[in-house]
Amino acid sequence: MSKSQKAPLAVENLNQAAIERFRNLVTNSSTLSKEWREAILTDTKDGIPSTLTKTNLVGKGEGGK
Amino acid sequence: MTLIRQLEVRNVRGIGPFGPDLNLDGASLMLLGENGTGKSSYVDALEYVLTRQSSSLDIGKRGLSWRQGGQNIASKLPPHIKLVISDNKGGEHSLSLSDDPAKLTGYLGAWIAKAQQGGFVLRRRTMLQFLEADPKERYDSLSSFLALDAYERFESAIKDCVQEWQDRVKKAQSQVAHYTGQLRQHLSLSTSVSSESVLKAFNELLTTAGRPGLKSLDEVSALQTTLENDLKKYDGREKAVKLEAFQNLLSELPPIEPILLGMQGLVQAIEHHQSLEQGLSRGFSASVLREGLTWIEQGDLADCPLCEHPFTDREAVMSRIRERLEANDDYIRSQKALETQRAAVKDGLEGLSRSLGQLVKAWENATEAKIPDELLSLQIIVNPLVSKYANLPSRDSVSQDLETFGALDLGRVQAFLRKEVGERLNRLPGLEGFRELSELHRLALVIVTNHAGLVTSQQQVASAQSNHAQAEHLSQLAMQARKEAVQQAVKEVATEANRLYALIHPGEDIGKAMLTVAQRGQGSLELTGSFHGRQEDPRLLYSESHIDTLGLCFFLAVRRLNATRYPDFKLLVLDDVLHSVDSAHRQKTAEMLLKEFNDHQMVITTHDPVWFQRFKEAVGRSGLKFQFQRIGAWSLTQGPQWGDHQAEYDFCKNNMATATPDELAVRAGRLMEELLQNLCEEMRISIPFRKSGRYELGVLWPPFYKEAKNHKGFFAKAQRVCETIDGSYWVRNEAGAHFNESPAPVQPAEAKAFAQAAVELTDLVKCKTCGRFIQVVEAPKDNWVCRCGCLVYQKKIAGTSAGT
Repeated sequence: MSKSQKAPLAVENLNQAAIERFRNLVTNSSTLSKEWREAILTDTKDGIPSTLTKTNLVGKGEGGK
Repeated sequence: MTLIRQLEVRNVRGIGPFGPDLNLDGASLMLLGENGTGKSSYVDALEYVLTRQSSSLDIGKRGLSWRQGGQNIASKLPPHIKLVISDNKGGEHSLSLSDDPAKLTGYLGAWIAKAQQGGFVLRRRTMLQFLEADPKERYDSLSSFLALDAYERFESAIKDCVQEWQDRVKKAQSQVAHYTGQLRQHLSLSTSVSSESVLKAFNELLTTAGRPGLKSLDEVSALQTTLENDLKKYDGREKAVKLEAFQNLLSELPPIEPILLGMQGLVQAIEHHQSLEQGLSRGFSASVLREGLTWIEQGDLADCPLCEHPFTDREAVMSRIRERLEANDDYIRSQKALETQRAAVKDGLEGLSRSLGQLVKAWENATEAKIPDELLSLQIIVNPLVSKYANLPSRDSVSQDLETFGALDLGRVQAFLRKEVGERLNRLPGLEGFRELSELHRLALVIVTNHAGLVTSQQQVASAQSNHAQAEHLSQLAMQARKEAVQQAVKEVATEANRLYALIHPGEDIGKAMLTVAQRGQGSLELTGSFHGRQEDPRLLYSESHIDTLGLCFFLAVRRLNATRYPDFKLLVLDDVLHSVDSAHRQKTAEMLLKEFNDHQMVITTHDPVWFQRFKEAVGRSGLKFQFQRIGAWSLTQGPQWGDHQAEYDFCKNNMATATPDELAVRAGRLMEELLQNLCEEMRISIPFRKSGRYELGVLWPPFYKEAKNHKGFFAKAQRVCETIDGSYWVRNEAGAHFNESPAPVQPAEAKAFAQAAVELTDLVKCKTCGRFIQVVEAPKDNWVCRCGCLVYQKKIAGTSAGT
């Protein structure tokens, strides 16, 4: 094997990479309301926002309005 | 590292009831055989026992499946495959078709789970799939490699949320339409319905009745109480109240417009749902799968109701169906939207039916006349629809109801009934003032009820629209994040593919493939490659062999990255993939594979003896543990037979006196063909090129004989044997080896002479000590020697030899 094969790979945990990018996009979004943004960024479980179930998100939306 | 020790195969595809088995003992394998001799059957068997899928058969096309094509057609026995592997501590594990891979645990279970993710078998026919796929298919083809399951579930939850808010917007808009319709109808509003327009219209009526106007609609409720008290002062009030109650109910009769809108929406939802259903690419539609699953769950069936084959594992079938159903997220979402729309229509119809029922009762209560036909005919149309829309009707049926409903003139019926009741009220003594008050009271009630509802519903619409926009934006961010992450991953794939490609095509201004995740759509992957400075779709400018090697390199790149991610699964199977590639690039490919995948156990098949030989030489230089196996013959009933000169040699030697002339001639002929193929390869003797790759005795013998006669040291020992063969090898054809009708059958003495000479030639060219054939060496120049030096034929010693 060549040396390049030993470099860390994005594919090794793509789920986590995608989640982190998502959190960055949410943090920097000026379109999302404060309630939605905070709900998504603060309520996490195992690295995945636990609010991201339909029931919870609908609930957050109702609370935010 | 986990290694395959043995693959036992019976009655699978081109392999018959006798195997033969692949006894790898942990080594890699290169398998040579002409087309149609069973090479790919070993690949099929290996892939199927590991994954329970065949990438050559289970490709979603009608009439193609492992179930239909996996069994050897000449055998009545079921396929048997057994794989023996050794783990990194030397322990052995076996896996056969009777094992359920999903239930395996421990070391074997973990290894099989990696195998089940696929991506270790490449076939000639699948090699270009990645390049030739459309961008969406290309993206999908990498889904198991990307392993984004957890994130995709997360995205799906957001999409469900978007759908939920969209449903709420629609529901609130329907309520707004209802309240607006009521206010517009009762106050005869021609302008848009608003608090201002309602207040203005009501104040005009109050002014006409000689009453002061209101400052805001908040005062309507108090006015309604005042009007109610005023009404109590009139005689005949009891009768009038009943007639007035009918009028009130008549005024509150729900408009049919929301129901019409609901039906229109339902037609669109059914069409959208049907288009999704038709778009489902594989096998049965979701509705059929769902129905089939219900039958399987409820019934005690011996055969699958979907494919009519006997169940081998009911739970696995049900689990697979559920997986496929869950995979159709869009379809399921559409089904939920369809259900919401149907329920909205049913609710509207129920409301209308209930109001019509109340009107009938109120009519009976207020008058002694028979119920008007206009009212009854409405009930006859509406009531059956309530039960009909308890379930989803067909699109055509909804369209028909839409037409029927659209033709209804509810206003005309209301006007008729209002007139009927109005006349009855007029006939009551002293009630002219009552009628005026009663109308004001009725309208006050309409405003109190509907305006409050309208305001609330409008707030709900605004809130739901705002939340829907937030959820929609969130969904866009989630998709963008996935695409950015995937872009990074596919960039790594392309970088690795380019690195491997450069090893096959060093110094060529071609390659630099790029994979780009398209920004539009759910997920698609554009592929371009560079050709002398131009970046285009590779198929536009690349030669066939450059495309082939690019396809190979993308597959190998994914394999390499997967091996980095899961280091305990390192198996690579290449089934006759280098079809159009020239010998120099094949050589480079061999070197690349041996350098870059030396940590893998490889199974490589080919129909090309030259590539086989070159690969063998490259392996010899690498020192890797490799086996080289040649398929010599194949028949429908027997399957593949190894090209094994040792077996033919033993047969000829041991059965010289007893074998029939034909059998002896055929077996000696095969011995000679195997012997000469090896000798011509080892000694670099040129033989005429055959496009078919089939090299028979008539092609192989003359060049070798010529070379042998020119080598004095060898010919001194082998002259008699060579001359015998040269004079008798015709018996190979006469014995029916090539399906000729022989005019002169082979005589026992002729066959025996040929076989004896073949055995003696074998003894002269194959060393009994090292087991290797003689080969040409550089020094002393052109001597023919075996590896250990026991057999030596000197070129320059005329008439003598130091041989043996």
